[in-house]
Amino acid sequence: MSAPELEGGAARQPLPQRIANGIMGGANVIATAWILVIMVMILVDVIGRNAFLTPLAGVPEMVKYSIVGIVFLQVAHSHRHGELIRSDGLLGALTRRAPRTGAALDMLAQLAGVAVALMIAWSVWPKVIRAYERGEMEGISGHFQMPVWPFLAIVTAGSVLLAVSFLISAIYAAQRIAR
Amino acid sequence: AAAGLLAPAAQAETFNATAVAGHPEVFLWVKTLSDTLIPTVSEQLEGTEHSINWMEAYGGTLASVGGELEAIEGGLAQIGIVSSLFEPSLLSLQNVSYATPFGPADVDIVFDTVDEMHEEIPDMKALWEEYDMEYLGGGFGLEDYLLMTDFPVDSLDDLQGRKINAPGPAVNWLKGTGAVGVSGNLTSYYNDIQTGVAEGVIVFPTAAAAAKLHEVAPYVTRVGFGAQYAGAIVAKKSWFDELPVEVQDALRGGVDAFAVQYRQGLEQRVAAAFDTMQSGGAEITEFPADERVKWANALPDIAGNWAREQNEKGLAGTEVVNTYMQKLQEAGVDLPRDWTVE
Amino acid sequence: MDNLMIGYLSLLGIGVAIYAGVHVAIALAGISFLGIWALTGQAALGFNFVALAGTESIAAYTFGVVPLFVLMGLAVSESGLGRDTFAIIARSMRDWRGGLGVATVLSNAVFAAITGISIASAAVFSKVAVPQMVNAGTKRSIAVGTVAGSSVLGMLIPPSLLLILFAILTDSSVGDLFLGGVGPGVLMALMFGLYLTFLGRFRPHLFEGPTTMGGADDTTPRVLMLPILGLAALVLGGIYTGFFTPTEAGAVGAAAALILAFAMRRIGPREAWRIAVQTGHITAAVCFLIVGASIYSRMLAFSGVPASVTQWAIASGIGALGFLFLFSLIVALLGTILDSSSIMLVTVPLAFPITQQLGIDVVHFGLVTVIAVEIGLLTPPLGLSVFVVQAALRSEGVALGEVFRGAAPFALIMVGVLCAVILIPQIATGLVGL
Ligand code: NA
Ligand code: NA
Repeated sequence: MSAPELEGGAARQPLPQRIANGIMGGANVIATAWILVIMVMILVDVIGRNAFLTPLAGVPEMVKYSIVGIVFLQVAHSHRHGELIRSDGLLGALTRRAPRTGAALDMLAQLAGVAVALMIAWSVWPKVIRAYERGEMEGISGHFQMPVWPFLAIVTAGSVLLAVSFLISAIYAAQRIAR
Repeated sequence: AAAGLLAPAAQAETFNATAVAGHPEVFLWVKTLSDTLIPTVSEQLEGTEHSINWMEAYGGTLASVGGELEAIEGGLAQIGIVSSLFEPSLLSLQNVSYATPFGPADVDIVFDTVDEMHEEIPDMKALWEEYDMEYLGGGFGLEDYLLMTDFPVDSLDDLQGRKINAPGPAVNWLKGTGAVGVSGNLTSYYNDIQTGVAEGVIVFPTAAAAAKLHEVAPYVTRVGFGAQYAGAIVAKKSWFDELPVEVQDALRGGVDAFAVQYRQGLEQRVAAAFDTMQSGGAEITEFPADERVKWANALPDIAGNWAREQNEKGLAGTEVVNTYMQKLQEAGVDLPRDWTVE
Repeated sequence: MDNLMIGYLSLLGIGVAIYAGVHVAIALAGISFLGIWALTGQAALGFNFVALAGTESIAAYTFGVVPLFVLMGLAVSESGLGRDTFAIIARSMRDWRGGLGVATVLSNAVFAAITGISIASAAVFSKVAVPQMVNAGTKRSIAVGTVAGSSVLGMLIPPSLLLILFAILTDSSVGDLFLGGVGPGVLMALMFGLYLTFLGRFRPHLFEGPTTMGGADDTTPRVLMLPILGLAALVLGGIYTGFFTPTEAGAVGAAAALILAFAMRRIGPREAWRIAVQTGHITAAVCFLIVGASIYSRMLAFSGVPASVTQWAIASGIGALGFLFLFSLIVALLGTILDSSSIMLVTVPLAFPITQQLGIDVVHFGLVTVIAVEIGLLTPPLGLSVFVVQAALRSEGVALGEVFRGAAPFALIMVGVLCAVILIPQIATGLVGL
């Protein structure tokens, strides 16, 4: 229901939405590149360990936290493309029979998304501050260490972006009700 | 229900307390928390006007391993097992034994020494208090780590070019030995060694026997990395401070009982673990003392580097290492390497 | 209101929200927050709970490699290598309606031997096998059902993360459990294959259309199977010689598939980037769902519902056989909404002592538990394998309901295999101690 084709082409989109789309697209590019970096890091570790007896330090820590970063950088873009998982059987049937009621139900679902995404951002934000102030690290002293706060910051920022994406979809749903 | 403004200690009250541990109950420290600490507290509260309504959340139902500190600090639990081992940057000073390998195999010496140091070195308690934790003692940890391999080991040279799984801080114990540290965890060792990704593992006996690692790594070498302090029972300080003194005493009593019971249980489990390995076909050998000295001295200055890192954070890193060394020496422990920091 | 009631109400809430079209992860996270608020009476604790559970849930090495397995699948399918392979298989199986489905099941069984997680299998085979099966005339619901259904083999045929978790929870041998998984895994693959063959014989219209893929595909030279066979040999060989771990295999396989596709000039940098972007979307959709499911699993465990139903089963005082059936039923029901490892963490420590008293073999109990848990991967409202298949194929217009319907017969076969394993323990324990 939140598929882009229902929301008009880029030319018809208002400026704030184009800006939001730009940010989500940028986050998506970073996350995509990040996946490829993870792939290369694991390869370097495997080859280094076997061929040169020198594994790459910190690969498990990096991989473990990277997935959190990748998911939250991508999640808004995924939602924008209608790829976030939902059961749209009832919604689809309703939209065909009673388009306005269907649009109203969709709007409620998207608003629930706004609320929950903001709730996640609000929950995690204090963790970002704490981890930054305390210098919380992942990894082993004397071997490999990296700060935890940037990953948590991505969770917060990604959740805010997701809330924006839900909001955009809710507005389009509202327009379909009014139509 | 925390004590309100008008609730003097004499008023009968039931307190709600959630106990948290990231590990499931098969792990001894969790079992002891559930089977000893909680019943002891209830016993000691009998005859007083107070009682505690316990809720037990183990094995990831509330927090994963390493999430206990946040669960308590955030008010989701009031008491629990916090593993300093899994908080290497927040509870850094508590990890002193991992930074000074080849210490005593005797868990009593290690746990008691680190417990004592909490009383003597203000920074150690301050770390807990920074996260709103009341250190109740009951420091616990793990028995003497050993080396398990799929090839026989008689000397340090046998490790040359070998790939060895090492958990967490133990990865530093392989530096300078010619062995290659392969990261992994308790759920991956078996598979890693079976397929040959690793050829051995540094591990403590009870975990090794539980994971049946001797099936794939039958050469068990008692290298003597030493017993390790790994964490403690703590309560949420702001909650604890509000409790009537009888309840506080009961909790401390429960923690004392935990400490005693844990050590007894550990002794039995370690013995059983060696039996399991032995009857499972493992070949258990003692690492030669001179080779042990060689290994200890092949390592880089792990303790010094660690201490200086703590000093830079404004913590008493050097003092912690040096006090620990001094106390071990006073206890008559034979140390193959003196980690004292200049 | 007592805690259990809050737990049951939350289950109802999840069901209503998901069917009303709220995004699944949103429904799970939102209701968890409300549930903790209701359980503790403090909204602040709800926030702390979500923060802790949400950030801990996917911060794991095992999940870190999910995008790499997806990438491997996409690279194989987008480069046409998968298509070639299936065209050749389809041609040689002209007379065996359902044979292509059987080939998918068998490939899945082989892939199960390299991965410890079912969602990796589901992600890879959705992109590789489904379009090809459909091109060769298989009805799409059969094709998606086959992929979702056979993905559960990943947790039965060793290595298996769930069996390792079970070993730790019960202090038993990983090696024995791995051996125990072979029999039920092979039996299940066999039953899936038989089912598809019977379907081909008695409901041939489900496989109508061209029995081969038509046009140029009918003349695809056999030599084009070599790249895929080489890839499989590289990944399998690497794991069994100890060059890399099953989790690292995702990175090696993805890189090798990309290099192959480049070398054969099947894709250029532009396609490679598009594949990577799509990988990210699928990963985000699936992992965000796992975040939601983990938060909710903890909330439900905190309310005490899973423990109370397990204790009820333990207290029911029925014999060993009855207990295994009852326990399986509970675990499978929990599996319709919780994630597999959470279920095991809550139920196994409670049930294990009673199985010992009843004299149930630990390997037997382990395999019964894992099969029952895995049924939940295919069942609504929260069937993780089904979600992964749909996420991978959404761009082709595959709806969630279609995958659930397609997977239903496979879930039923799993129930059959589960009953067989309960009644005939030797299926699991036969290989142990030989
Ligand atoms: Na597997
Ligand atoms: Na399910």
